[in-house]
Amino acid sequence: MRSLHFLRRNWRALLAWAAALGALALLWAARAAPLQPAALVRVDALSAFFSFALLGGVALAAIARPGGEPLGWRTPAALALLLIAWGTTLTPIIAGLYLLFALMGVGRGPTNDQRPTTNDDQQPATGQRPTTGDRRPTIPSTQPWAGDNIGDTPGLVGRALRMWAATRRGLAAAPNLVAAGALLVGYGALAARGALRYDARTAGAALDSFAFWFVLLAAVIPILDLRTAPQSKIQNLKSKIRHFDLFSFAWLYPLARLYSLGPWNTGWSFATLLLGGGAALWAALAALARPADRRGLAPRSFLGLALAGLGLGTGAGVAAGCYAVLAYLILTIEGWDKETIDNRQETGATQSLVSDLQSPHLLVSWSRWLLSGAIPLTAPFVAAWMLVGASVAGGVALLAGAAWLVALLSGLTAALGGTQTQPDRRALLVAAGASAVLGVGAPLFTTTLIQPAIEQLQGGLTPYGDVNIWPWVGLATIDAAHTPVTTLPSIAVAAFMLVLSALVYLIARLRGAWTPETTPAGAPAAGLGTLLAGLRDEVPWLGALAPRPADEERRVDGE
Amino acid sequence: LTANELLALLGRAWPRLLIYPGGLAAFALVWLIARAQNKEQRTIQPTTPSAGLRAGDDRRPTADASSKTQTDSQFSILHSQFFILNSWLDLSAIVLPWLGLALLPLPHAAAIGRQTDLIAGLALLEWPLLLTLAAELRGCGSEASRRVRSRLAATLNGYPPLILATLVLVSAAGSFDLAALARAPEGATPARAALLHWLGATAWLLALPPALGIGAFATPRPIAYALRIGLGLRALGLVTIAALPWFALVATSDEHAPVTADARWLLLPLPPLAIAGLLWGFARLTAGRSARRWARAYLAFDAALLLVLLWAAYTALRARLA
Repeated sequence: MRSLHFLRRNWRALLAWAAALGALALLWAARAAPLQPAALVRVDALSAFFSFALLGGVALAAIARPGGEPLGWRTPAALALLLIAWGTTLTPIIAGLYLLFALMGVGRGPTNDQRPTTNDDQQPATGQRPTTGDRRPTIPSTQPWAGDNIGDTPGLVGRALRMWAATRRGLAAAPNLVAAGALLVGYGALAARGALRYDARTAGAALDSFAFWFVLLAAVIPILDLRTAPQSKIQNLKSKIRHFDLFSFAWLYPLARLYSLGPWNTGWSFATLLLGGGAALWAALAALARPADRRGLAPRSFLGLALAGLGLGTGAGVAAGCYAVLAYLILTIEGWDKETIDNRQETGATQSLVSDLQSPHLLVSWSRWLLSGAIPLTAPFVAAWMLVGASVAGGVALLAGAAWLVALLSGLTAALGGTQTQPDRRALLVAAGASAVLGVGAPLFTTTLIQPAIEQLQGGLTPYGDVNIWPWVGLATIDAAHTPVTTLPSIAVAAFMLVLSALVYLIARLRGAWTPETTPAGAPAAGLGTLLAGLRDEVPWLGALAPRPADEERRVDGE
Repeated sequence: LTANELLALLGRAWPRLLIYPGGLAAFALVWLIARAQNKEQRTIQPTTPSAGLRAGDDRRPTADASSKTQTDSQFSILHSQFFILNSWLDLSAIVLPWLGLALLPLPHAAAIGRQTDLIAGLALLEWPLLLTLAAELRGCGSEASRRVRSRLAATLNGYPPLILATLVLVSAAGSFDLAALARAPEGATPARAALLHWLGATAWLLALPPALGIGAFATPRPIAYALRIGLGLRALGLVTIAALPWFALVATSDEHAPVTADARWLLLPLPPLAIAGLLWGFARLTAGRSARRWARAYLAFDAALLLVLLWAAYTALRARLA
């Protein structure tokens, strides 16, 4: 009876895990050579990796939120569409299925039927008195719903403004449709020029700049989806699972698939690196400068890194790209938290946050760090590290700098705002656990999940960078001359860390220094927004991103 | 590599972890530096405590301010009743930079099979700084605000030159491997690579003041003892990395020669001592100066390093296409 109850309660999670294990088995079966059970069906290591990432992400999400909102029909349908698209060789079918997938996602973004509310509504939930900055919500006029404030404006002007607001809402919901349109043009051009099937012998001849640019556009647009910005203003007491955020990485598949057609030319690679690195840097800097939008922006920086990695066109680059996809999934799951206090964050008032921080559960606070990219043995760090190595091996040192800066900024963002939000503890712990496992076990995961894809795409890759795996020690990236560029003995470092931790713990216990230190609460330091605004002059390069102090004051005063 | 070899690797690493470069040697140096700093603070009369708070005054807070509030424990990261777990966070502020320091390939350090690279090493060293920022952000009052603001400004001004300098150094060596970065150009090395190597090594030196938070970028010492030790280890690690390329000028050419094979081993402390001296001079000369002006100077420095990198990338591409 109990087991029946358990099954009834957790059937979604069990199904998701069964599907993920099935995808893993498929990946194992396709590791040596692609599976081709029928004429138009082909499962190679790349499609099996994407399938595993998709289903693994959904399975992790199911653990993170076992009793989450009902999935509805759209999520399973979108899953099925993507899995079919990754299992077929027909380029027009792939593009068509992506179009259907984009249509499924319309209206699932944060702009859909969600409105900001005042902090007065928030009060009962937190039991805190609002501070000066809490008096009213801060809604920049650039937000998609800003037009709703003109609801009472009479006459033609009001109607025109309402139409404009509706148009803007529509456009904000459509970026994936635009991406699907671009993909349709790109893959349509491939099909028209003879690459009806990507595994055809003459398919490589069809790949030209026209097709490539449109496919690249389709990969970039979802990363730069600006709908993440208003998330901070959403008062959403009931957390919602946004599976369509999780699926964003799927747009990288059509671009990665182009390696099956043949090698890219230098210009295409350069454009991909530029767009991917730029998007990653922008998202990381914006996450630092706009802490309220961190949840939406931080994972996107890793999607940008994934794009840049794929653009390198080397074994090390593809490994970095695939690993960044896994890091993106983990960070996206971590982002599913309660957004009850974001308005206060935006205004810089941290009074109530201080009281939240008086007794943080350490596992939660550690979890934040494990997802920050600051600790070497975590998935976000390894993702950035792999791209740094791949970039230098490929001779693109500036991309290495961008990737490194993204990792450092992620750490800083966690240090500054890591515990300022009310987390969904379960999601946080699941994501942090996955991050630590993926980080420490990076050599094993790279061997099992990613290496087969690199081997099967060799025809389209250049020799300027590869991954060297020592299963029991760690990873290294090597250049064309097989010189190690980066080396991370992750398992060995983890072992060293354990030894030293035990030693320090022992010394502290022997000295009697292992005692708690409780401190009284006091008035908080300046809000993070105000702090960053104040740094505009002292950190010249931050000036472009952080708001001006005058704007910040105006927000706080509600003028 | 098998699991047995991993165990062997761990077994061979103990002198590095416990004696040199990590362990006793590192902690003794941190203790000595802390002693010297305390002595210096006692000899210098404290300035007006609220000097940095005046409107329009962009002087950085000095260490005097921190000594005043040392007894307040309001910035400690140990905030919780779950003391055991919170203490682990404190403990990590010491363990991670200790490990980062122990993994540095200093002359005559015990050999271990697998080296780490500069990225992982720096990540380990930077950990206490992030914890300090997180702790100070949760502190109270204007003093806390001032502390976190100065530290964050120094950090954000320090990261770009540090990264760019590393990339210049890496452009010459073609690797992030610390041992490769420490190798001086030989006679057969192309002039371009040799130039980039020494440019990178010099740029690393110049990137240290904001990274360490000294001089115009001065930041107060944290209150929590663990964080102080962690930041001390971090500073030691950064200075040691900066000294790595310069060791080649004084070290014996034979890696496997006994330590006391010739008298040159006596010169080994020279590079880090010279760098420490330069940093001390910079700190004395620029203490209390405008951090904004220096931040702009560092922005120009970043731009120059970026140009060097672009030039290096251009010449490398031409060489590849030729």
